[in-house]
Amino acid sequence: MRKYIIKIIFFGGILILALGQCHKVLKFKYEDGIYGMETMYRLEDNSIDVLALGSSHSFVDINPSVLYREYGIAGFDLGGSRQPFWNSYYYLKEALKTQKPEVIILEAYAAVFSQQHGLESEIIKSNYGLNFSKDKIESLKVSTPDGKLGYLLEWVYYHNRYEEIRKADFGKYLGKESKYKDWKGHYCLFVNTEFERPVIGEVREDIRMAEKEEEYYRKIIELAKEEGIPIMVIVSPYPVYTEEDAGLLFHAQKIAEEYGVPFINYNEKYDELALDFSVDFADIGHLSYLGSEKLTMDIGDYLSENYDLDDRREDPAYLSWERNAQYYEQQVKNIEMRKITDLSQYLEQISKEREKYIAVASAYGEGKERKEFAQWLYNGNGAAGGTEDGTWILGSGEPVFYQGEEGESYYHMELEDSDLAVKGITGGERVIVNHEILYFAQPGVSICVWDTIMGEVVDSVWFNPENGWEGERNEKWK
Amino acid sequence: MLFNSINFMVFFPIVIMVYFFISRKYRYLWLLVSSYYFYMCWNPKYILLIAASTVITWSSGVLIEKYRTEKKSLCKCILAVCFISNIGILVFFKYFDFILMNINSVLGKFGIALLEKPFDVVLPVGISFYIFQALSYTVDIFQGGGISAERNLLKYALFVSFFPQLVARPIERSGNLLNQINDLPNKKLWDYERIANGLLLMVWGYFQKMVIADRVAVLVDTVFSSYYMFGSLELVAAAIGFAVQIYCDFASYSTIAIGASQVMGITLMENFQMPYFARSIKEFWHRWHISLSTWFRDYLYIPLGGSRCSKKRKYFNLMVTFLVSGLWHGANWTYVFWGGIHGLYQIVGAELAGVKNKLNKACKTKTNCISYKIGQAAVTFILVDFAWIFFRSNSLKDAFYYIERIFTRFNPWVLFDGTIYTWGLNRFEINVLLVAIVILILVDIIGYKKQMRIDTFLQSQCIWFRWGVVILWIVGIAVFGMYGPAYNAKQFIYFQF
Repeated sequence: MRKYIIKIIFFGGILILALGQCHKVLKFKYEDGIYGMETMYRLEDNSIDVLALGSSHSFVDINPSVLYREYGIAGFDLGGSRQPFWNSYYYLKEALKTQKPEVIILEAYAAVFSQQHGLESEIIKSNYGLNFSKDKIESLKVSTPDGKLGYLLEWVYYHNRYEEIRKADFGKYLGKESKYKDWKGHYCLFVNTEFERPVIGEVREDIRMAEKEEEYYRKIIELAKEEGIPIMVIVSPYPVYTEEDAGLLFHAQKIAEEYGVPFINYNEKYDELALDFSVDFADIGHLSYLGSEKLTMDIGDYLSENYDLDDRREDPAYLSWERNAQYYEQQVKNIEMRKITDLSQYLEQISKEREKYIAVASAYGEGKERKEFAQWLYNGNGAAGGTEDGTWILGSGEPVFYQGEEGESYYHMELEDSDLAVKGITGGERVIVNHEILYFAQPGVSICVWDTIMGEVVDSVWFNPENGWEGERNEKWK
Repeated sequence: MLFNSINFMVFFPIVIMVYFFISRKYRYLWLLVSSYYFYMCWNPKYILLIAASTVITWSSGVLIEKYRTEKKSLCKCILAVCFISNIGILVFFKYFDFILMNINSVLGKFGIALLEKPFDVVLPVGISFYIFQALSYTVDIFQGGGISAERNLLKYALFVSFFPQLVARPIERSGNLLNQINDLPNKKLWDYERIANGLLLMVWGYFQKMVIADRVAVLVDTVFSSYYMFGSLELVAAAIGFAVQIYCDFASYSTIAIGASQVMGITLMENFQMPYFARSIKEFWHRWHISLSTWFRDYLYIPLGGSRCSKKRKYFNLMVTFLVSGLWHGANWTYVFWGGIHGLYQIVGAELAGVKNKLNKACKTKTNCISYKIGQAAVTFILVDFAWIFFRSNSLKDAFYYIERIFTRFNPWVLFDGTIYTWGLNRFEINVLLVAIVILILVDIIGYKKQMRIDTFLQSQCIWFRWGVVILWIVGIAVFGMYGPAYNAKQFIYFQF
């Protein structure tokens, strides 16, 4: 009998191990809901100073990197896509189990929602990040039609994700430690779309929000009050703001005032934020990174003026916020770099960031700019062969010079978990990272840049002599 | 309650736990309660039908045994009443709509007003199975042969309603199942190997159902639902797919039922033995749905005269048996036609056997080599699969048009231009399906070559291989099984028979 029990335990153990591995790979890992909560669980207890709750408007528009860099505030975005107030309520309850923020910011776009339940994907995104607890069961009950608890059997919902499996599903931190290890829930949009400024009247009609939304909106405020945590309600700006939205949000404002809670609707403050409708919005609902910086600066000003928040910038316990800010700033720098079309300006930019970049550059043919490039190689980078045609790898120890030859010749190097190869072809080289051809060396100067902070290629540009040496990029790098 | 439902995943362990811990004397009662609950989960009202059939056949059995020696004619009357009432229930619930439809179609031809349907009849799940099982018991008592009537109504009720085989069987004989029910108090319950093998069989059954049958069903349903839009290749693929689907679907139910019963110490009869390896239609029927084939053999074909009679009579008996078998499968002429085709196959096969032998002799064909045997199996499969088209089609008209299109819409390019991935299963799903079918074939080859069931074979292997296979199956089911919100849980095909 004992022998059989040992066998059963052993078999069960192996089976659980196998299924556990499958679970790790297959489970949902949405950044816009689930992963934010999982990241929050990993934080040191009581490390968040400002907790931002709400729908995507909160975690796209409120930028913790800016709050930290400009004000020393340790902020965290904890929300889910199209998250209604009832899920924000349970997110808050869950956060308060390990965190005691100094201020809670509730982004109140959910006040304009009218549905009783979200779509399946929204239910999943706003619940599956929660650890199993009584609150999770309650959250699912209130989130699903007829309180269906079938959603608790999460495996049933994601077992057939096998076709969507990517690298991110296998590694820790979504397979991108540089970004997600110190991530603070912010989902930044580095695109922009031009919009007309919404025009609505001066008078605000008081329109009641959906009953269930109002119930949980009040509950969030009441919970914060019970916990003795100041809460402020904001509405981040969006370019399709309507009269009806204004009425619903006016109602939300009245409720906030009823509780003595500050309420700022930034749709009424476009000018104060100095929003530029040509670049500050990413899409119909969200700000671009430029817009989010403007909004966050205003929120930061308000927080600094009205609450006594510690400056965490010199605090070693908050290094994680520092690294998160650095990562964001690096992303912004790369965006700016991708706008450069002038060779000398570009070379200057690479030189400035030489600690962070590995550049692969190929030069072929003649011309003033070609010489300028050779000079740059000699001067700033100590690379030999500057006047010859060929390819240089700069920034990773000793500069490497490689001249393309027909046939099997190649140069290979590892870039963290990626592979860089320079292969010889007739008349030049082609540069490949992880099987993706970044460029074929052509007359002029071609450069691609590997960012060591972000752990990825961030730009690939060809300065084309036929086009006055203006930098040309394909769609991916524009 | 479906075997592949969450309810069953909760129900079965509870039944087993209680079964193992209650007094041996009451085990059969617990199984009876569980079986009735199992059936009532589908539709509580229809439990009355099982109860009615149980009471009628049980009392008939008791009475027949009492008067068997003295009043033969009375016994015949009792048997007739038992048959009429049970077949009456079956006809009413299963064939009422079909009969009405056919009457109306005749009336319509003569311009007579059609009969209106007075009420809706819902087909009770598994009705054909439990009625056939109950009737076989009464006939066995009538024929004597060492089978005695069960005096305990509740034990008999369990024989009719034993939950693992309640809705899609195998159709058990009283000599096997009832004796085991009576023997339950003496059964050694904790037998590690028996329980492990039972669970292993269940896992294999789930794999067949959830990974293969329900996956290939997507392709089959896509093509059959609008077959008039598809060409030869798709139609042939769907027909082959249906052969795989119906085999895996039905065999899986039997395998799960056999496994679940084995866990409880009850051995059910084998129902499938690698049917697609059969080298003739006759052999196919010795391997396919064995419990039903033998039922028809013992209670219809042989009473009609069997094969110990003139050739004409034998063929007549064969055709009647297969036509009735077809009708048993469903209230539609397509099933009758399907049965007829199989009857015809057997008659033509018997008639051409001499010609075939002469031809083989004249051509000096080596008939004992593997290639010849594979050829025979391939021809048998093609014939069986051809008949499946009638089984799967909604009407005879559809089936004939389906076949016509196979021969008139030749479109080989769909194999190369990626069209095959638009039939409901994408490239990845088709790859999963192919791998699963390879596993199925391997399991069947092992069964065919070693003449042993997969659980016995795995028990004979080293523990790491055995565990590896079972864990792979479980993980395969968990990940690649067709279940969850995006999947509409399919009933086992044979539930409605």
